[in-house]
Amino acid sequence: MLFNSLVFAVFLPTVFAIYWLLDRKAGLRAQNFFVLVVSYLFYGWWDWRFLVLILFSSVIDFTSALKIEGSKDPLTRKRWMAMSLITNLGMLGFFKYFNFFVDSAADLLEVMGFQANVWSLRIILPVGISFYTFQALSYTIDVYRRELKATPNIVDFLAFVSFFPQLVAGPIERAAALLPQFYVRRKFELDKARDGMRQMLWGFAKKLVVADNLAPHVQQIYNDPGQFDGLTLVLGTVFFALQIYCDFSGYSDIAIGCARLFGFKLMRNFAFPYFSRDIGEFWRRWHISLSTWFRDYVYIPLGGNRVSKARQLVNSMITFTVSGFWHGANWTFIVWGFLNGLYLLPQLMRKNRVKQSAVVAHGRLWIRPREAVQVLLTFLLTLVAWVFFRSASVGAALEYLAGIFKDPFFTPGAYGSYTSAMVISLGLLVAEWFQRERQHALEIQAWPMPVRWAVYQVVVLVILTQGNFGSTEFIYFQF
Amino acid sequence: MKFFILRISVFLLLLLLLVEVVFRTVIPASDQPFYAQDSTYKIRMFDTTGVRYGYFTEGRLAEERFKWRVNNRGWNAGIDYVNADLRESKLIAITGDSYVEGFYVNWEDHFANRLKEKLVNTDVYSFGVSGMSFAQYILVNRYLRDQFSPDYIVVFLGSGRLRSSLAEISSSPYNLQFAKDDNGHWIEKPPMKVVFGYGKIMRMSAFVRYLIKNAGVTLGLGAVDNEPVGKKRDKVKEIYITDRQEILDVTRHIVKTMYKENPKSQFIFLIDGPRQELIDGVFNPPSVPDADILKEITNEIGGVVVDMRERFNSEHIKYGKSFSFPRNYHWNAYANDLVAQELAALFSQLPEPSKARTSH
Repeated sequence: MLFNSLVFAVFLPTVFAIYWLLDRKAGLRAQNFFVLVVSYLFYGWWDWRFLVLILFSSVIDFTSALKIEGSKDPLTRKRWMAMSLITNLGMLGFFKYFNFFVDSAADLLEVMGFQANVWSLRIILPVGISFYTFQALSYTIDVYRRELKATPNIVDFLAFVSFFPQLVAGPIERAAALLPQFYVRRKFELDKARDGMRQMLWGFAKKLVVADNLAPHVQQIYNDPGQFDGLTLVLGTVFFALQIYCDFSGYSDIAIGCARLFGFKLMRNFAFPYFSRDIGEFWRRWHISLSTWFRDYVYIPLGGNRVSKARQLVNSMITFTVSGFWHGANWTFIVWGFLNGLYLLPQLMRKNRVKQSAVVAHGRLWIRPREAVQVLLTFLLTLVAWVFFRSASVGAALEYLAGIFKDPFFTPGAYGSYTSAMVISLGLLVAEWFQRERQHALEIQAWPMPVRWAVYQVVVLVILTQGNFGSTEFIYFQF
Repeated sequence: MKFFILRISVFLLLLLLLVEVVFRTVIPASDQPFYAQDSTYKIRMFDTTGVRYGYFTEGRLAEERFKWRVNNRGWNAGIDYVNADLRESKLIAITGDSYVEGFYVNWEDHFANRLKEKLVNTDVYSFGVSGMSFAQYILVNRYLRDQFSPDYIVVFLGSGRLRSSLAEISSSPYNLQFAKDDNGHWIEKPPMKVVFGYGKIMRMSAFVRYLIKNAGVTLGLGAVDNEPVGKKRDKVKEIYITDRQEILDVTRHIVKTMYKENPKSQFIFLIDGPRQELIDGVFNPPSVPDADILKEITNEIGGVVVDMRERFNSEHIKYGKSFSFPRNYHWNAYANDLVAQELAALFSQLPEPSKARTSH
């Protein structure tokens, strides 16, 4: 089920009403069971057959965690941990990477002069598999590390893995943060519910107005970059940077807002990443739930910052490359991850690293020239990486980049068709700039009520008149 | 919780009020009169509850806005229609689908109006209904004969229309269609009655009309048509290859029936040109299956044809201007004027109506 569909418009209020009714009449267990049922319904709406997959991996993780906790024998504990790892990563590997490895092996054999007769399977990638397997893995790893107690209640656990707002595209919640919320009675809190609605509204605006309106331009430019001048290619990538941001962070906003309506708190996933002053800051603001997952479960186990400088750099490169591979079975994603790792190296090598924690121009309205240059440079670096992310192959990405520098770079009068996309993009950046110290751009609870309501109504009107109602999928569903 | 629901409800009510106002004034939602079925002739037209005006709009910001006017007899036209016995001038009746219905241009720019301006002592009435099958023209022809007794009837043929006469290969329930009985004779399948249930009530809201018409949201009232135009064209072309003989036979039957049932009017067939192909640069040679079939029949019976293919082609070569709108293929004001020019040129050469009638 898509958030941007009419079915969801019926689903959400219905589930909301029954959920809070159950809180009064039937209690916590019934409420959690209800969350589980509606989450499976939400997921099964897309393809019910893959419910078996999510159920299977959840049961394995649930059992593994109990066995790990119940045993003092390190070998048994390791075996059950391995069981969970193999199940989750095996599923991910099969559904997401099988054909990639087979094709890559065939390509390699051909390069070496062998004729390879390979076969590949027509495998459908189950929506959200990368998200829920990572979420479930965080649970067994935390139990293994004795940082979290295993839950004896399978309903709570299944509901945690499949919690519908964030099931298919995150945020990838840590078990330690989300699972305990299923143990206690959730209270309906007016302020949180209201802010949840605001965040959902902003998420819908980003998805329907910005992402879906930029998408056709991006597709047109990337489909045949050879026929466009350099500036159009730059524009195409700027549009893609904003498209993927609005698509993905829009989903996260809807998920976080939706969860708040049900009394749950999900982690922040995006924090205005394009206002970052360096790549390190960018990665603390972009897809935070995944970045921190890789930090906690890949980078730190590899040695983190406790090892030599050289090892740190290698660890960082490994983490970023793996993170790129997580996005999909294509060399373009690997290069994208590698490039981002590369960008970070100068920062890691500096002795006195400045970690930008506060948002740019904190407490001020306008940005300083030095900060502006830093933000622009960082954005430029991310743009180069996005070219690889968006292109069909590494070769195509290189051609695209080369195309930017060919003649002509600028063609007078050739950009008229992008006017509305540019206005929309500018509108987004202005709104987010003024609200960059908040959780999301519509966090305006301190404003007087008439002004607030006027703003909401304007946002709804903009969605109605500019939004794309074709129920287009979110980009990150494919990951 | 109650407070939350109350606030949401108040907010939604205010929002509905606001969007109703906005979609009635600032960005007028596309408005269209409701169809009704004439009980005698079984043809679709607009209900005859009186003269009405409105705006047909296209685009999310209603970028294209066209004035319409439903006249005293339930047709979109700038003038009221009078019956044959009250009329002094000669009459050209134009029948066809949405091109003749004319919601995609202001009624002043419609080719019927432009044609009237170019002719002397001649009235031009248009009788168009969106999605009309070629077979449905038989029913319209009966209505025209009885009510208006026109001197000329211009029958418009758009691309892909002939196939909708056949019930076997095309679903067109609100139109007359034909099927063959066991003996191979054509039998009429009368049109279904036009029924508007909840859709009519819903569309009274400008907001709902905006969502359906301007934003393309279906709200469960119909399926979303996401099939690319090129793919659709290919499908239609395929039908015209596999079922060409059947389409030819039924069209011949329809044309002959019209001639037989209305011997006093002279028929002129107006054929659209493949304008998109012109713009795409694939208009060579200009072959359109519908047009070729109809021309084959008119050649057999000696009918008069105004074929817009050549005119559109030469005009495109000269000026390169578009004949359609960015969002749909209907004729814009420029194309309507070209059609009126072609028809006016023809009528200036035709014999006077009294002679024309005796020729049948």
